[in-house]
Amino acid sequence: MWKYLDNCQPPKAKPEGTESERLKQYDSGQRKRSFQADWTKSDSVRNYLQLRQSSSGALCTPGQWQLVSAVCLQRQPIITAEKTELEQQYADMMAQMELETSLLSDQELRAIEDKAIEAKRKQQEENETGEGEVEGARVTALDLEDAWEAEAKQFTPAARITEADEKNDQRSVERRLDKPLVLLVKQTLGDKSHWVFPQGPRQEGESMRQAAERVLQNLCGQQVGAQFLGNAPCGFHQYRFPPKASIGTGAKVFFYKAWYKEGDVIPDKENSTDYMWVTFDELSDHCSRPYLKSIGNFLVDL
Amino acid sequence: MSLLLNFVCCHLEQEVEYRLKVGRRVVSGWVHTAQAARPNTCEICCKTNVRALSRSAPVAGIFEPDDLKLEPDIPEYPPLKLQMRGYDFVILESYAKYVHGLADSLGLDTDAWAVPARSKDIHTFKPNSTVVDNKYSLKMFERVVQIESVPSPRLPILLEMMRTHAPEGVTINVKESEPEEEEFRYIPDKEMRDLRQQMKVIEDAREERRKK
Repeated sequence: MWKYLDNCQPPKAKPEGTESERLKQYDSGQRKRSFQADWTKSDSVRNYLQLRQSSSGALCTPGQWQLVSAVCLQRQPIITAEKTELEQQYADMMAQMELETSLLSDQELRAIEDKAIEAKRKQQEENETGEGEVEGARVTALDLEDAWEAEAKQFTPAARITEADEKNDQRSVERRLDKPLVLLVKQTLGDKSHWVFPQGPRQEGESMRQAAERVLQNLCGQQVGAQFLGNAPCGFHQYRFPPKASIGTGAKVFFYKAWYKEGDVIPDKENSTDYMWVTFDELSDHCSRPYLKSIGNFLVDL
Repeated sequence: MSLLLNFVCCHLEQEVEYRLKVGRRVVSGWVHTAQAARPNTCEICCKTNVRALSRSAPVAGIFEPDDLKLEPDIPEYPPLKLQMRGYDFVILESYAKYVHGLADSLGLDTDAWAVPARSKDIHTFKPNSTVVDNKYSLKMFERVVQIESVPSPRLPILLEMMRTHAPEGVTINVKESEPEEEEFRYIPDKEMRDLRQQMKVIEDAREERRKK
């Protein structure tokens, strides 16, 4: 073994440029045949295949899938949810246990001192009339508590169930404050109109995330403020176009999550006719089953 | 016989004079303990180290694999701090614990610490007078969870979980570290500061004398 180690040489430094030269050989740019480049652009081919641009300006061939990005705009809950019965019982039990194992607070000690002082004063009054020291009026613990209660009553917290809940106005963002809401938009895809997350195809030269931002602005208006969560999509859905309309085999939709910040949704009349803010349970009333299945993978109401 | 073996015992770096017969010559010199008279044995502790780790680099060269990746495949965020602040200590601590566990379970490198609390004294006055009505002493507590090597698709998942489970009364900030915030964690050393000031005074005086 030592002999083997003695005989080994340090690794030779590879001459610079060999890697890149080797890779250049396999570079598809050099090795392409002349007619392979841009075959879709030649007139004869286009006529043969009857390629045409779809209404949104995205070019696609039959056998090709249109890349579409959609925005799942979520208004996060504003207030914490009410406890369930079990949770309430457990919370009460834990509060009781904490009370029983705790020490007295300053306020409670003060109340006890007050009682002792009261008792002393009554005793003095009984024993020596007129001779006892009249102590200065002390602000008792109970007085303080009364003052604090009066101050607290002046504050009225906002209502948990808003006007929008009472009217069941599904276009309002103030709806269910304890649940996350999602924006659904009525879009005409092909012949029919569907309730979907705002979606649109990707244009040339933009990334999927940029397409999602553009789609949101176009369909819902420039004033809607949204915080996109990262460049990676959170979900995927795929559907086929009807074979008669030869715009392609179908569309692949990539969903991007965004948190709603501010602004009213004003649907752009061309693509989207109506909108509503909906909780996750109410989604099944409006969306088709395969779409719901894809959405359900990333919409979780915990 | 190889003379330059790296052994495992702690006396590696200590040198010992040796005299060794190599062929007919007697070779003498200074060498690491491991290499003296008996190979594989340390002179000082007599430990027989059976496993020779490696030959030293100048003899055998350094092996570096060709497919070393200097950057990860999926881009990562720089070290981020999840700052949680609140006036209610119990809720804040419980939430910070939850967030730390959450970040751990997502496979991130985490570190967590508490930042000294900042206290506020509030006096309310009776209307149209300077008589103090109420005095409140509030403390803003802070907990930080630092996450490193976060792959970019994983941060939104963490943020969503944090937002869903955030309790009332806790403010959350996600940002990179700032030097002022790091400084705030340390208690200033008054003695050191005074000594440094004294030194500065002396040096200034010295410079003035030199100029004159």
